Amino acid sequence: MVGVTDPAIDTRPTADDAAVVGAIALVGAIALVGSASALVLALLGTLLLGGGTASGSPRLVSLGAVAALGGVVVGGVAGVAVVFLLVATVGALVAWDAAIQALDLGETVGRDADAQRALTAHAGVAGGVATLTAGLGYVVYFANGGGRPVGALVLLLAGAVLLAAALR
Amino acid sequence: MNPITHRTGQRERMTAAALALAGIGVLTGQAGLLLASVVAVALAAHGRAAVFPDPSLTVGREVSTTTPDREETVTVTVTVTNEGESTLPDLRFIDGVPDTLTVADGSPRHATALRAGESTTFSYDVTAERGHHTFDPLYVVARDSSGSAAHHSDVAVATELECVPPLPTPAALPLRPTAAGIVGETATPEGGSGVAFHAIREYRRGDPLNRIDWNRAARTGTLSTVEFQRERSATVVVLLDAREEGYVASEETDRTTLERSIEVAGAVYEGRRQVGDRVGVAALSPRDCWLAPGTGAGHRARVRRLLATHEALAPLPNDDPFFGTLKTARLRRQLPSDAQVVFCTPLVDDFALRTARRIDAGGNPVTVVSPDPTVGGTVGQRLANVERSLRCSALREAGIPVVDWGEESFQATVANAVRRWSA
Repeated sequence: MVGVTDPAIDTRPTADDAAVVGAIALVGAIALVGSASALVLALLGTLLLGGGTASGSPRLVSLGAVAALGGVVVGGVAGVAVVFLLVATVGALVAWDAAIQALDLGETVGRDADAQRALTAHAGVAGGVATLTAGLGYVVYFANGGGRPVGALVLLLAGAVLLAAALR
Repeated sequence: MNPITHRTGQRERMTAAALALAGIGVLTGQAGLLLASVVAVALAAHGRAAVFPDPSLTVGREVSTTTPDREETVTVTVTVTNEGESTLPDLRFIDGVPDTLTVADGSPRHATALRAGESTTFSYDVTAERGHHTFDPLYVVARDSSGSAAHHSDVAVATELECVPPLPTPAALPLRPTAAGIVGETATPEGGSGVAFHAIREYRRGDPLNRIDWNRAARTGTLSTVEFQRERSATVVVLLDAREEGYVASEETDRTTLERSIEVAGAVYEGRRQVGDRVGVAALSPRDCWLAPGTGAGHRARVRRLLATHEALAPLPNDDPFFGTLKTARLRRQLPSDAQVVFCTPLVDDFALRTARRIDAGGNPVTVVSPDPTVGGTVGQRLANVERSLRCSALREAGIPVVDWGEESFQATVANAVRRWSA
């Protein structure tokens, strides 16, 4: 004899969601091709972000984000060109954001539901915001003559943070 | 439900990423890393700047049929249109499938983005179950494009399904002999009008002419009257155990014993109706359920509808408290004094046993029909099995017949029981 219970819902995101996340992260990783160790870290990050999304594991996704951003840091220290560094950052951050969105959608609507459009719309907007900022930042950086004075950049960053606080 | 808004903090991680990248950039003197941190700041700022969406949606829900047969697959199609001026970048829908229905295919959930004026459609299949089902509102979660500001609301759409299965094949469940004699074939030992010969007695003034034995009158010259067995219809009340204990099943996916009890009630009703008895239905449930014994096509339609859709017999148990003693007392007041009771219960607790004995002792002869929910397996399951067998034995010792319905069809079980009782 048993009571009546609800069937549990499978909350893992779909394989398509994982593919979207993996593709975005891969674009970022390939930009780090100038430094072997950075590339390896970024590819590991890609794998973890994609795998974490497919298995619905927030822990794997976080690890993947740390690895992908670690690739960016290693690339930056190894002297990868700033343009590629920015592309790698955009890729890592947007992929991370998309992975979190995919997990959240999975949590709400489950694996059986169609949620592809909500994910691509979210990742598209995030990609747009990130690319626009990277482009603007690069223009400012370039206008300042290659960004040798780090102080100018610190000011730029402080300005961005203030703007973020004001927008709240 | 009033709309609820809350911040999800989905982009807070970006602040951490920005601080890490900027910190390492400053420490190592790498301008590129510092620049990279601006991207993370922008994503975090996007999240902070999020305003709560206020979706204006129209929702339509269509079902392939509103009066399905039992086990029939019903396709539910939900169409949502964004009636607002702005794009809704992140919309999640959870349709209010009634608890009593199960989703057979597809998902009642959907997520998408909708531009102004755009609509989306999603559909899924449910398996129809006995009863009257009302869909709950569609639950909507709308988020802004950064996913940081969420707006929860629901949109009511009236959709109803009603599934009234036909009454099952009749089962000739015999009744208890009463003090007046055998009621099993609805004949009484009293003489009167009828078809089967009973006795011959002396003519009394006023006897109908067609019952005078004219052959005998011609032979002997005295009038005598033929008496036939007088047939009397019995009054039967089928009592269903619809307490929480009535909703047990052998396995999670099996029919509950209440569903089987309802099949019993239908089969017994049909069987007794065909021999001309007056049959009523009652339930032991937190909700009142009583249909007085009656006959005729209208009464049959009422029984069919009651067994399918009455709230006391809902496919899922009611949470309200059940006051057993009060309900039994009220039932005994309602029962006609000459009524027999057919009590359908899985006999998984002592209350069912006590109720059967109490009603029987009160002068309404009881026959228990018990769908067997127990299985062998674990020690606990075997214990439940033994306890139930003991309850069956206790009832039989008290003179109450018990039809123990296991795997085979109910009609076959009754036929076997009758053979055993008459042997």
